[in-house]
Amino acid sequence: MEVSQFRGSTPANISPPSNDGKGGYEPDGREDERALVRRAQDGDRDAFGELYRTHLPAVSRLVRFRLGAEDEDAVSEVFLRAWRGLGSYRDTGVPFAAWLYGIARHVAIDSIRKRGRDEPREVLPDRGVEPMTAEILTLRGAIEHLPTEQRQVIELKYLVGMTNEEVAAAMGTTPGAINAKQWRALKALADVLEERT
Amino acid sequence: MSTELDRDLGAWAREELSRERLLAVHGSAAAPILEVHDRLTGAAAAVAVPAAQPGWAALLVKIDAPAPVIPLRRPRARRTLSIAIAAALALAGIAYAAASRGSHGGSPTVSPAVSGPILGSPSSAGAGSNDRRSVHAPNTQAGSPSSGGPSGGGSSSPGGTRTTTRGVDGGSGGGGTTKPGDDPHDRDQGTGNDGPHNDQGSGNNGPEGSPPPSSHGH
Repeated sequence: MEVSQFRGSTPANISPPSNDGKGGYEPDGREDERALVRRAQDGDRDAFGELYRTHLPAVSRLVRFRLGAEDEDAVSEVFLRAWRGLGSYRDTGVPFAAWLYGIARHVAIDSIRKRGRDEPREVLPDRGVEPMTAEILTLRGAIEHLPTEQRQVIELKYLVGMTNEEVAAAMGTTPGAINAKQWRALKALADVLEERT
Repeated sequence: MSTELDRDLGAWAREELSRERLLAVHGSAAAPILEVHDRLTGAAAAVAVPAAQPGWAALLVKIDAPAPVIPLRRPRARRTLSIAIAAALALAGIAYAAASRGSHGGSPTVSPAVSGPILGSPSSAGAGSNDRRSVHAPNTQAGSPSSGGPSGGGSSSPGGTRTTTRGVDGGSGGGGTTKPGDDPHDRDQGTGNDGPHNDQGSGNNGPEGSPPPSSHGH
């Protein structure tokens, strides 16, 4: 085996360091993050602010892909619910990002329902398509056709930016199993995209 | 997908295998996977991340605001059913009370015994149906203002324990609690026994046949 000459296209590069406002989950900072979570649970807003800055990119990507459009209110709602629900969070070895991921999913579902109630149906497509690129729309549509488990692997790996170990902890399985699931999910996604073109 | 492809894709992800090598070994099996991987990576990177500072400031405002109280929502059908059941129960209760009163309308001596269980406080029946508070205040038998008026003292046992004046006592014309000097023809159902009148347990402050107050304490 040889070292890849294509660092820029490897999965490792989808989760650059988190505090620069561009990255995702930072596995090296697990202990620091646990300390931040504990402080935030005690009501320390500065600590929660750090968590906010760390996970803002991942949550933004999730919301964007789930809703098909930028929605800062939804992103804000994810963190607001996280703040209010911190008391119920228990560190069981599952990354904090996985907990946020669960909240983001629910916020996205609520947002879609609300949008469906508040706006006439014929308005929905325009509202969804306009601010997003065609590529994201295409991928989102294909991801929605995946089974739940494969969809979670794709979202946790590519949008949240978790490592296989972290996804395995979140999904209660082994890193090796996640590795296999990831490639199967990508193969399934390729098949869906192929069918839709 | 083969185990070898899984393994080599994993190796490529860990940067232990080059893309060229991977494609050379697995060819068309690996190509679409790598293509989708590239598209996902590119799309994720293209998502604009909102500025952290304004977002955090806006979030702080929301955090400081009190959490909204969200009313419990029920489906319309369930809500309607609940209201219907509640209304039916209320009507049944009213009808039962009316029927009970109607069937014993001419026999006020029985009324307290019937109303006792409905009120859920047997001891209150003998004390007069409009004076339930006095059940919990044994010392009010001395005729304090809080005892519900002078009639409250009439049904109390001398020992100060109203709990002995059960509804049956009141129904028997206060026989169990008749004090010396009480009129033997008194029919005030335990609300006092100091005159030959019948106020159906609503007090003892008028002559025989005087109309009872509109409320009986139910």
